[in-house]
Amino acid sequence: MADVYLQAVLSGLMIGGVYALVAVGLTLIFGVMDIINFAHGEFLMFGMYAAVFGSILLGIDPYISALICLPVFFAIGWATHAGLIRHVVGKGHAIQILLTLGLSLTMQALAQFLFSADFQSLNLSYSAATFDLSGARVSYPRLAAFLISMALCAGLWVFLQRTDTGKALRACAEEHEGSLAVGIDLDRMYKIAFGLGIACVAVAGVVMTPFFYVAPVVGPGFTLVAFVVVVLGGLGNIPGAVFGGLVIGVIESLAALLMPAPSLKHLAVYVLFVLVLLFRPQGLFGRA
Amino acid sequence: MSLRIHPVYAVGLILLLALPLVAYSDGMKAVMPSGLAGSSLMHIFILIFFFAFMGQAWNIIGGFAGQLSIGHAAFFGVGAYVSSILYIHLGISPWLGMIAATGFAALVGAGLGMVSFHYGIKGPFFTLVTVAFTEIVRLILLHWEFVGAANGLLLPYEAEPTFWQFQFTGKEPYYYIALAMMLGSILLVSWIARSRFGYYLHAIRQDEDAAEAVGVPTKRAKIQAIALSAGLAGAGGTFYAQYTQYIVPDDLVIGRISVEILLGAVIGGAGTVMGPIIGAFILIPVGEASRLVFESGGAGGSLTTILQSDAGLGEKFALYLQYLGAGGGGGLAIILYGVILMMVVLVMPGGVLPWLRRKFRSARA
Repeated sequence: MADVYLQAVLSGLMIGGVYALVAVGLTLIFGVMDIINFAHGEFLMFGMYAAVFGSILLGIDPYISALICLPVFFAIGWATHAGLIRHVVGKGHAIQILLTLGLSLTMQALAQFLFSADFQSLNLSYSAATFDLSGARVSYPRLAAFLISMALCAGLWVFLQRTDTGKALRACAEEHEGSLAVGIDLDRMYKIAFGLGIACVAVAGVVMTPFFYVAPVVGPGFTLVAFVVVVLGGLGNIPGAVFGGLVIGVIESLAALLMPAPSLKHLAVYVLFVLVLLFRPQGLFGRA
Repeated sequence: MSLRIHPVYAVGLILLLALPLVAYSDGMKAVMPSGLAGSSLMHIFILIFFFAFMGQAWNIIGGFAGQLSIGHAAFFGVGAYVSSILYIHLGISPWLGMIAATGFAALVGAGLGMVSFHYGIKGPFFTLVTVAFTEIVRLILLHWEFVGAANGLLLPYEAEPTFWQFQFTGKEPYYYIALAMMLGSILLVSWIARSRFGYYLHAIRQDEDAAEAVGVPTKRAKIQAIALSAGLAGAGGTFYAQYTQYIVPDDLVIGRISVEILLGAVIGGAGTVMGPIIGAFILIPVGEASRLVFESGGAGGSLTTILQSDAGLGEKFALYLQYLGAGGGGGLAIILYGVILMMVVLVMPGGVLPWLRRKFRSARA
């Protein structure tokens, strides 16, 4: 019996790592730019399609795709900021939400046009490969997704702490006018933040393709989970988002076991979300 | 209270009242392109009235009170389920069911508002609560056997329906009911806009803290606004259930519907009386036209078949281009919706109607 729970916790941690990477992208964009990105999950969906078609048509392994997608989606994020998001920075949240909602709608419908509403999934030689860990089965591609996601979160953290650009980004997150006063190019920082955030979420999509299907409609679910994680960890808080991602992954996985139907696992997550919003809107580690 | 009606709206109303009389005529069939006369023309106008009504419902909390809800699909779905269950299990006329749906959806809205506003949730956090709430309602409906779970509810078919069964053989009765609902919502909202309650909402939208400071009961006004808004959306749910005769959680209580409800209001002009109406009259025809022009419903074959064929890469690419040329997987109407929404947000942030008014005013001056 205990094995079942160990299994659930392990699987939860694995997928939670991916949630963490998705949420880190969202929280970086929010922290630096104060933008709420409702189209976040759609970038994940396009990352997944890039990997799926790369694999089916060109035979590129998804893990190679991840390396390619990192700079490509950074550029896409950069361009999205330059073309769209730039115009609503500093405007009201409602305007920003409506703009990114429009972007999300457009991207979903574009994916339906380009890739059809069919579900696509990869069947790779290692898709079902597992190993045994004291009675629980661990899937190799899930472990890989977890490790790559954690490595990227750590890399981003080091980048923010150690490099000049990273420090400038953190300065923007703290104080917009102050950073402007000391000569930081805010618009450039915003482009970098949006690029990094989009690169994170796209790679999270790519590393899921060996074990997760893709369809034009997968985005909003991930956007909402990312919001749950980000609120739980405190808006703009990157270590909080990583921790929140792991927690949500485990809760979801345990709920799938305990709820009357496995698909009700999200119910637990959304109810928790509403409760956190009500009682601790600053997140579990946020300052009140 | 004097009701001044702009002559453009008066002429429009007379045309709309007369439309069913000529929709089936040979003249209409001759003028309109590819089968857009008769019942398909009626269907498009029913959709316009319906989305105008839903947009107007959303407008009360989302526009006038400035609380961006992306969760009206939940109230809409609750309304559709309440009247349908009452009819299927107790044989209660959907007309009475519509009243019950309005009341129940208003209670649900008030409950959500009480919890949210009591804990001071505002701005983007309120939006997130409405999104999460919709998902919670959808998951409950999906797993509740009594309401049909994932299969939804099929309303019993009546061969010779009576008025009380809210079922009709032709489209004209639905047309006039939807038109009446739209007109009723316009009257209600134009009354709100000029009432004390309306001024409260306006003050909350402009600056909630300032409104609170000058004595506006902000929390109570917001709860009343969301209850009224949710109640109307619930009535819309009953209409939708009776019109389509079939409701299923994944078609009703889903983010896409919440977005379609607010789309018309935001594009036409959130927080204005006629904005949601103008928005629906822009959006639905644009969507239907793009469906007529571009979409043959995935006639280019299946993408999966192309992917799995033995053809070489170049050949697959050629097949793929052919597939896109034939309309791809569809969705072009929604791409237009999204692009229009982004353009309105960037170019005319208040919506089309306030933008037009400014244009006319500056042209006159």
